[in-house]
Amino acid sequence: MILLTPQGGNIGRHSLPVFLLFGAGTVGAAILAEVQQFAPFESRNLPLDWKLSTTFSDQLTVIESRLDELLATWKPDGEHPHRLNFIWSAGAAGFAATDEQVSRELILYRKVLSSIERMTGRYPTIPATMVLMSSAGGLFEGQRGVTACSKPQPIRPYSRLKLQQEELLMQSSARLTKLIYRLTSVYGYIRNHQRRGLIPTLVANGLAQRVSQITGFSMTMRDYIWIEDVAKYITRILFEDPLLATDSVATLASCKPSSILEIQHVVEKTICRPLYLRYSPEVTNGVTMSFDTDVLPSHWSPSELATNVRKIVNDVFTHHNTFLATK
Amino acid sequence: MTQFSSSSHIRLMQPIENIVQISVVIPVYRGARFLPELVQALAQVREQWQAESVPFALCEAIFVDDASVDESYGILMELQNEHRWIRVLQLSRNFGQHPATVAGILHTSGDWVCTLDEDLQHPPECIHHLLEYAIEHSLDVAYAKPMDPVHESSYRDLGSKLFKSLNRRLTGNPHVRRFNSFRMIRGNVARAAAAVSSAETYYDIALCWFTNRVGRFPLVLKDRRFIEQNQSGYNFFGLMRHARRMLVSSKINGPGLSMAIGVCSILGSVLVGLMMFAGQLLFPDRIAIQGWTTLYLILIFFGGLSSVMLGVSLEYILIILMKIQGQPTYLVIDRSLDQPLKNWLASRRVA
Repeated sequence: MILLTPQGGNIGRHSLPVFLLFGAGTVGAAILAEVQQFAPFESRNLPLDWKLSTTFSDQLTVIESRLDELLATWKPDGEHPHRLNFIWSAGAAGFAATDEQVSRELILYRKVLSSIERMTGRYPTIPATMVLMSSAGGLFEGQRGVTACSKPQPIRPYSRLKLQQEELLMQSSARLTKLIYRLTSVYGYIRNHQRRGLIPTLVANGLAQRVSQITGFSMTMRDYIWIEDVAKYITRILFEDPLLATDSVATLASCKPSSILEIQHVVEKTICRPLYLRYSPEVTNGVTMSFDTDVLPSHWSPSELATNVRKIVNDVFTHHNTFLATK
Repeated sequence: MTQFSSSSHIRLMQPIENIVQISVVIPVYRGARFLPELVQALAQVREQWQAESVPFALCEAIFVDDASVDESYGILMELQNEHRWIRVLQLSRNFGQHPATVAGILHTSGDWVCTLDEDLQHPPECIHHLLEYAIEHSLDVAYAKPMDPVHESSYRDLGSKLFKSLNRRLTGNPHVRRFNSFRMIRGNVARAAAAVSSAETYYDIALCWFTNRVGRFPLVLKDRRFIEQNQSGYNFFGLMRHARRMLVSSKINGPGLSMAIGVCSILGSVLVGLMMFAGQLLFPDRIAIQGWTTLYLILIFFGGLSSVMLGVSLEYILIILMKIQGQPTYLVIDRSLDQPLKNWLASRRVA
């Protein structure tokens, strides 16, 4: 868990908020970077170990007391911070998670929600927001032309987990502005120790001339969104005013479905090398998904795939030269 | 010509479980005055299909505004607000009909993709004819075949016909004569071809890289814009660019011809040389002026050799060009979705 506290200063007429970021994976790390780019923030890592469920509650208590300490000695601007922003972008269970993994994660999520209820209850004068990163890919798996009226139809444990997380947040008694963002397939820069999606994997393996294993068909279509677009959008909402967000549940999608073949072609053209692909005979993730533009929230503008693939490749050449030497 | 669609029959049919989704892609350039009528026609088709419970649906219509100089974009935005199934893309500058079509196709998600022009020369009520024809004949691409001259202008129609014929001979691609911008394409093939298309790729040529299952369904098509106003989306230079794009995207037969001429020249010169040599040995007095024959034979031999080398070089260049253009090694395709629709069509005929 990362606690972000502003190092003084205002944005416009507002003082800065405090962020409590649960999960610094691909999405969490991007939001963290974006927040720190927006204004100077001090970041503190507070342990929250997902593997040690017995200590989980104790660790949450420590987080609560750290927040108490912070607010007791609050100085930057005025009596209290402008807002408390809780962001949930955590999750150990992946798309192929089992029922057991999912139930375990749901228990931990409930504990975090209870902790947030306690924290917000103690400071009723400070407005608070909770942003939950959900999964459009999980909730609408196998659906094409998903519209604002489409109903989630979870077909695997991971999808059920996401839906239950959404429901638990909406049912929570915490005095919060609740924002749920359902993300389609997110792709971002290649970072060690982070889960990679299809596109960064293809770029990494293409540059290292390794074989990529695909668990879909060449014509399987997905909706891909660029991590920086997501981070920028959410940061903007949280820095300005979360009440301006028109929908409490919104889908962040590009609304341009791309097949694996199309992505292969874009990556090959960008890295100027052929990709070596091996399509897995056990296709567990091969259904096509697409989204209608009416699911999109206002002010969301996704960027273009080919440009972002070039950004990933540039980033590899700029920051990861050693990566290219390894096979 | 096979005729389909009898609404009274359609209602008798058992609906199949999966509805086949059709995406329509319409590149738009200076077509403002046709757009409301076109959208109205598409809406009618959509509603009619829904009312008749046919096993296919028009799921989306993607209009690609190719930087029109008229008020097309504004009109499209209004229409998009009225109809949820309409989607508008605006290109940053005028790229041309094929890049606009490619852009639109890459935004589709339907099982089949139908492309048509914005100027109403391609009647939306005929979309299902193309689909049914493609399904019944197990095709991947079904083009509309104009039953009468489209432009009602002899020079325009003849020019188009002559160019396609010339291109077919140059490239050896038998499908060139079938090309028409009113087409029904299997979604996966459409998107695969669009994905590999570069700026200079002629989209229909790219389609031929992925499939040979191409057919034509006869329809009455009229270019109203050209007939009524003598205006076309293409001026002379536009048509020339169009023709050039088709030629550049194709693998022309030139290298083979060059190599064949070269090999013949070499063999001919060697053969004649041997004959002359034998003649000189047997009848030394028959050639009055010595040296000319040798000179010509050397010229023919090396000319032939140059021709072969040129052909080989051209072949290499074409292979590289095709690779750059995006010609694929293979594409795996699943046509199993056709069967339920095929069964439905068969049961409708029986009914």
